[in-house]
Amino acid sequence: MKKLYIFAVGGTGSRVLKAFTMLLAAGVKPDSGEEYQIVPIIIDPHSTNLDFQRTATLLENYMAITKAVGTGNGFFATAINNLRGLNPSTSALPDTFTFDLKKVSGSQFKDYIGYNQMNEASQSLAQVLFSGSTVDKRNQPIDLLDIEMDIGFIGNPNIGSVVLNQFKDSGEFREFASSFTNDDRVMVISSIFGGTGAAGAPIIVKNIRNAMQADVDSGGFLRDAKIGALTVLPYFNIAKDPKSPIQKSVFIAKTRAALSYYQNNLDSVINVMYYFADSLNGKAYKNDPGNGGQKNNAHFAELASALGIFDFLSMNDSQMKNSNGVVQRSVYKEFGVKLKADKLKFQHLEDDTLSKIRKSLAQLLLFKKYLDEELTNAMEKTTWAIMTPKVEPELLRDGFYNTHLKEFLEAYTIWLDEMAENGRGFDPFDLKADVRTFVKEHPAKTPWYTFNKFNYKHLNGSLNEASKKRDYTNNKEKLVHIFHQATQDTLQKYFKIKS
Amino acid sequence: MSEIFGFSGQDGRHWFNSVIYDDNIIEKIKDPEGGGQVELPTAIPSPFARFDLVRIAFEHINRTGRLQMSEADGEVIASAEDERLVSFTLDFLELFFNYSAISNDLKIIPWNLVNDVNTLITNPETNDFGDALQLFIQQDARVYNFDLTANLYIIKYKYTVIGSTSPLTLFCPGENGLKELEIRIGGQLFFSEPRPLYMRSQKFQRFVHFYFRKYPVLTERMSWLSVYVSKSKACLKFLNNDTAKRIFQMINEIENNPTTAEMQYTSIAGFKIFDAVDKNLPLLMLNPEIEQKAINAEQQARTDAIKAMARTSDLRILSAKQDETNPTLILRNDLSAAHQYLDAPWSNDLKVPNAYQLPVNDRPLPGSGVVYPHLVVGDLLEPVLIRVVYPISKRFFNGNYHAEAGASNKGYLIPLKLKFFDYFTIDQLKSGDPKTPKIEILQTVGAVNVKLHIPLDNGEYVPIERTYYDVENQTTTAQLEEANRGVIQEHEIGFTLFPFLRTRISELSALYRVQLVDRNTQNHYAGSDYRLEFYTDTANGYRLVDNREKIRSNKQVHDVGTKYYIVNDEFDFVSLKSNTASGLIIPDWEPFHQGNTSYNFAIDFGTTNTHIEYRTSKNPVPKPFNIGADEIQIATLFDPDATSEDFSGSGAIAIRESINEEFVPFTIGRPHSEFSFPHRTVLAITPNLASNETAALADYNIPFIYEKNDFRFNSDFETDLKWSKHNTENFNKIKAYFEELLFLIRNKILINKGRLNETKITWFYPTSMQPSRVATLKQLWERTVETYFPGGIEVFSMPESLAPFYYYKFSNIIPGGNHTPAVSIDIGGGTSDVVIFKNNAPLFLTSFKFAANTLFGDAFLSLRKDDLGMLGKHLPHFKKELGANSRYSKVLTALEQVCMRGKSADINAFLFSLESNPKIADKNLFSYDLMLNNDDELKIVFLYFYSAIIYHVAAWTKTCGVEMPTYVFMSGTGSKVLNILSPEMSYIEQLASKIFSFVYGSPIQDKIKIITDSKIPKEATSKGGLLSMGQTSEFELEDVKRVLNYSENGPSVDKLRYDQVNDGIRVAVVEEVERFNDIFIHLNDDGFFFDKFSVSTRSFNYFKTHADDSLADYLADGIQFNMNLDADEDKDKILEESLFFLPLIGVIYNMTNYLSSLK
Repeated sequence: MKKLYIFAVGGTGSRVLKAFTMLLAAGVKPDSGEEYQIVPIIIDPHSTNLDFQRTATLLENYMAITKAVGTGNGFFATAINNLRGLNPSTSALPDTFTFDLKKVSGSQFKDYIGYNQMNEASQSLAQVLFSGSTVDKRNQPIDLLDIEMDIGFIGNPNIGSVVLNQFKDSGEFREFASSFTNDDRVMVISSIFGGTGAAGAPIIVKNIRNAMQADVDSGGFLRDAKIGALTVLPYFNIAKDPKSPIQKSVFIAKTRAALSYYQNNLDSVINVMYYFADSLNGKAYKNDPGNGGQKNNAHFAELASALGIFDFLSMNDSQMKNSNGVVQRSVYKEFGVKLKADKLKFQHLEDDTLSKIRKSLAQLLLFKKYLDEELTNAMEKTTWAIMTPKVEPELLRDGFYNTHLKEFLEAYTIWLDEMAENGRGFDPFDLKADVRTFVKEHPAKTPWYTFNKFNYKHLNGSLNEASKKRDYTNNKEKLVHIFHQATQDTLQKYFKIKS
Repeated sequence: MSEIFGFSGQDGRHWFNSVIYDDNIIEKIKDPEGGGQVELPTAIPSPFARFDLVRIAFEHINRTGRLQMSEADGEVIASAEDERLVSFTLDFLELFFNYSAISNDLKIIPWNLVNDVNTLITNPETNDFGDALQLFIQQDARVYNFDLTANLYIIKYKYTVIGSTSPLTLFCPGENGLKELEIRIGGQLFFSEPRPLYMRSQKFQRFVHFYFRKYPVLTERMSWLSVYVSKSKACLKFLNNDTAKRIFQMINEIENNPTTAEMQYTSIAGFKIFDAVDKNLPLLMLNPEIEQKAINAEQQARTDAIKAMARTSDLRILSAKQDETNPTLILRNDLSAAHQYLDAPWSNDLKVPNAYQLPVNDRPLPGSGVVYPHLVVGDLLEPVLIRVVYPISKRFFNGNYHAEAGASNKGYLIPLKLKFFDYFTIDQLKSGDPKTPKIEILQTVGAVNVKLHIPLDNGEYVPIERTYYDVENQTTTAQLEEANRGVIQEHEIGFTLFPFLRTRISELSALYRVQLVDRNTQNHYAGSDYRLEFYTDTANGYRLVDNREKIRSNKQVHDVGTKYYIVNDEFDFVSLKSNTASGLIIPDWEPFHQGNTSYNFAIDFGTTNTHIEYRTSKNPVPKPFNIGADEIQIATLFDPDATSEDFSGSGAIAIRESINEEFVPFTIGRPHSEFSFPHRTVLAITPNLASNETAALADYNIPFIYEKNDFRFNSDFETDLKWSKHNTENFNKIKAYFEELLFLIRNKILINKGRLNETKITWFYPTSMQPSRVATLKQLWERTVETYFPGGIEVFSMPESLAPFYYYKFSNIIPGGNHTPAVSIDIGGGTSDVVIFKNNAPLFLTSFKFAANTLFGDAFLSLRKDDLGMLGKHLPHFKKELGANSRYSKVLTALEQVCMRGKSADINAFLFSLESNPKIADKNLFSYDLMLNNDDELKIVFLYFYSAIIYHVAAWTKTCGVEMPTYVFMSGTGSKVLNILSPEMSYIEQLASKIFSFVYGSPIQDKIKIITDSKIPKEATSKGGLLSMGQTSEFELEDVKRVLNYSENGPSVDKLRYDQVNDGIRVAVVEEVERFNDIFIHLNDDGFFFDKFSVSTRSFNYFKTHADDSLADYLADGIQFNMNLDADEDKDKILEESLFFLPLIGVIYNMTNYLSSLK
């Protein structure tokens, strides 16, 4: 199967990867119909970053779910794997999605580059290139060369570019290179305004194109890899904190400088570039340079960006030709919605966007609602639950259900809730409403000749139907599959959501 | 309106193909907090970020006029930090220029890009750093010029690293306390106060210019530096002192003859910024032994004598503009007549260049070498002649064009250079008088000959000539000019000027908009960009007139590019510039004088439609606003009478179409024009409007083709102007709408030689509007009037409710006396306004938001429902019938565009407008009125709507203590409902009489007479306003305004605040609606609805069962909606309208949806 390697760099990278995972769980697929295996690699020097941890947990739950039920059930229909998982018998990598940066904690940048070991010429060059000062964790002025590494990236992508370059010598990079084939693709996701993302994305791309010079397998494939890059421009506000090294007004200046660098240095390196910029001056995030456990609420920008990944997968190989590591024609993309709104709902989105997400998001949410509100009533009573393999109370105590699926779906609603609350918001669901009105613009309606308003009994009808259509090896697979079928039916029939 | 999450300005859906973020786009990314960013971050992800930082500092400084830090409109153009970095870089260059004086203190350490990197890589401790440097040296080689670089040199001053050489900017200063080192050469302190190049020493400047001239690789690979250096030369002019002039002259010498200057410098021991074959760039230093030679005194005397002869030459130009001390000569090769030149007549053996790079005053005279001002053909005629794909309109000077051969269906811009206006005026050029210059454009086979006769001081002329060819071998314009040949380029551009009017009266102020259309999408100039510059003649030259340029449509996206220029000053001519050519457009202004007619206008800015009526002191009968064929306001560069449909086969019809779409039509008003007032209240808007500093006819326009034709180009539309939410963006839109109306009005007055300052304007507002919103409208009107009517005029405002009554009164439509009260009901799109008059004076008035949009809009929903309700039922008919006839294809497209973007109200308004669309032949087939009139299922909705208004009016008049009226005047767009109810007015009157009798508890008799002018319901307001202007006394609205409220104690007209609306009041309102529903049902006890109005039994039964459903919920929704409308208002505000109608809106909405779905 073809593979898509996703390099998620920094906090924004993690958050977009999370949105992408949610869409995969909901059953969204690329338009081309081509099946891909997804291999995420998260790169973030802040190992305490909560955004990054939330995403890692989510991916682990996703993998556990697909391990139990496979990928043929509508929901969770795309395989996700980590680098180790591609080659479990021989890989020496840990069983995680993350790339651990070495030598970053507790040391100064000067030590990292081995300043004291250099000759006079190189020391002097380092003095010019990294001259000037910045502030340390305690907001004290400090020479750039003396800055502590784990915070060093924050305002200084030039330092980040040196440190993150260790990626090319890592086991992860070698594993990536040796598993990479001509059919595979690479997507690099990052923000342009922070530190890690702005520095990391070019490093990854450059090393891939430069792979012939490196001591790795498949250097030739890598050099001409089909690379997409998703660059997220500032989309949130940072609360004013005059003491923090992160300043809002610097965001824009940084973005402009970095874009200008991209224009000259990454054109002809990246096949497809996705720009996303939300100029709405929305809700302020807590000002946290990274050492306090950065955690930001989900945002529509991440959902839209995740759709960019699907777009990338839907493009033809012929649109991404390279020769000798040089892209023949770079493509640039931007995202638009049909109507302007501070709180986006389905009606504001373009039809192409709707057809990808409206039904799927609603299906997964309906699945979750049913499990929360109705499953215990239905077990041992309704046809679909009684038919073998039975969905019985025991399942609720199984780790598959009570840990992985439950945690995943819980994360899904938190994610939706955060997007709704954020400014700019994305608010198509009423998470507190009953099952009849949970899709804001599409209340469920039963035909006029019936006397009952829509309720879970209608959904049970569809579940019964669905459970008769296929034989299941176990009740977990059945649970996921029939709910995909039945929620689809129900949304079409009663909510008039066809796609 | 769509929104794109990006900065490119491209439009598209979902993830769509766009363009790279290049410098132009990056430039547009503004800090929403207003910038003020001064400290530059090293933001780029490369270890060589510092090199880039210095490069960017140069780019920023280059954007400034004086190469110093600068700010405009709160945006930093170049910061102090930029200025410092640039200056420090120059300090390094100057330090090395003086290398011999300081070499003892400097230590230069080479760092080899190959060997030193390898040393780093092989040591495991420094391997990470080495790898990173190598990666970037290899991958970014092209942009960082590492491909030409062998070594970087790090510079130490007495043990401190102070910087290095840089392949981007020659030098890269460090941040290691350079100022504290106090580095001096000959008293000059380095790395201290910033100094631009042009303020540095003469020797150093000469060196830098020499260096850049000698090593072209600098221009090629360090363009930001070479731009800086040439801008520095230009800045010398600002200094305007002798030293600066001398340096300027010296630079000219270097540029003309770099080899002679070379001797003076020697290179520094093997240091090379670039070290590659053919691209060597050594560092040079000053060789102090070379001195300037003294000027030979003898030579000076000879120069003076020749200058004296030149001053009296026959070839002196006759010009009132020039400096008389050294009058300029005109010289050309192959001069046929004999003219005294210096000490002899001009000989054709002498050769004069056809074009000079030198300024006029610095040119050596042919045959003598003495510098004396003279002009040649290259100063006056453009190398490129711009041909347009249409004949030039008579409103513009055509350069005395004559076609000796070939078709005359195309025109030419005037190929004069601006230099011409240093000597002559536009009036001279156009006059054809003796002793003035004259131009002739003669079209022959395959070529065009342009002849410019330059008048001489002695009364004779020198003809300056150039022939322009369709096909031309010379490639560059410089080559062309040297050979005195010209080339013709055919550009598909359009130019329209608004208004075609120049008053020369400064008190009237000058206001212009100019449209520039670029239709070069398929041809050779698809990549060209165009811009306009506006100029005016002055006593000794010409002056650039300020303007603001606004881009509306983008050629790359919309198949046509449009730009708009806002010019607030009079101008004489316009220069059109493309990347490859420029030419002049010269309006043939007509003389202006003011007459003594005065004008009155009444503007009814409505929810659905807007109308303007006017009358003049000469003709007091109100007429709808128009632009007649004899008062066309725009001047198109193409001749509207002589231009063929397809623009001479080019197919550039977008040039014509974009005028109606984005600008101002030629004419307005039936029968001559397809456009007329009343017109849909709609504004077309530039998509992706970036700034708040917007203007009508640039960012916005009133699209008169709305509902008439499809739109080819790119606009967003706003129809909900009058009741839009309170915010700056919406106020800007309303203001723009007013602006265009007042602009049209102003032009009409001036073009007809009216007295601008005697104009009177009345505008209207509904009394149900919140006072703060009325105040905002008033402010918007007044501010806009200030601009378009400088000096101020009388502006009146009037409640919409009052005006129609005066129309009927002053046009004597009211029969007989007027002793019993009369009621005027004006049903608009958004509001209905009701007034009781007695003895010709208003007693009371009220107003409510229950009007046409209640029937045809989307109630409180923001969702559109063209597949539901009335539209769901009837829209398919129109789409089908329009689709059946190919003549209507544009109308169909227009309908589809409205369906795609608009709300239900917009679509319904469109359907109603079809009947009167001049393109429609079969009026009955497309009559929405008729169709609804025949719709028995829906009829009850209209009946209910009408009855509710009558019922409320009756209850209100009764509560106000007024006796039952005799006359009811119905006006407004919404009074068209009467047509739908029944063609028989007496039935409608019967219905009203019955309702009044119920309410008053009097015996039923046919007492009520309804008076309406069904053909012009909308116009009644503005006509009434106009007729009563100045005749109605101002009165206090609050004194006569009465709102009917309900409580446990029954109806009253006492004032009620929002926070007093408690459950008791809500219950009372619902009960009142139930009472009305009951009465409505009983009206049909004798089958009245079935017999007289063809109401279907099915629909009536449905009403009977469901009329009282959910009334309390509808009421709650309505209250919430009204409170949201004016977000900044307080909860304790007074209710401006009765709560009675809020539940009815829900009833009507649901009833319509249900009844429409019946098969």
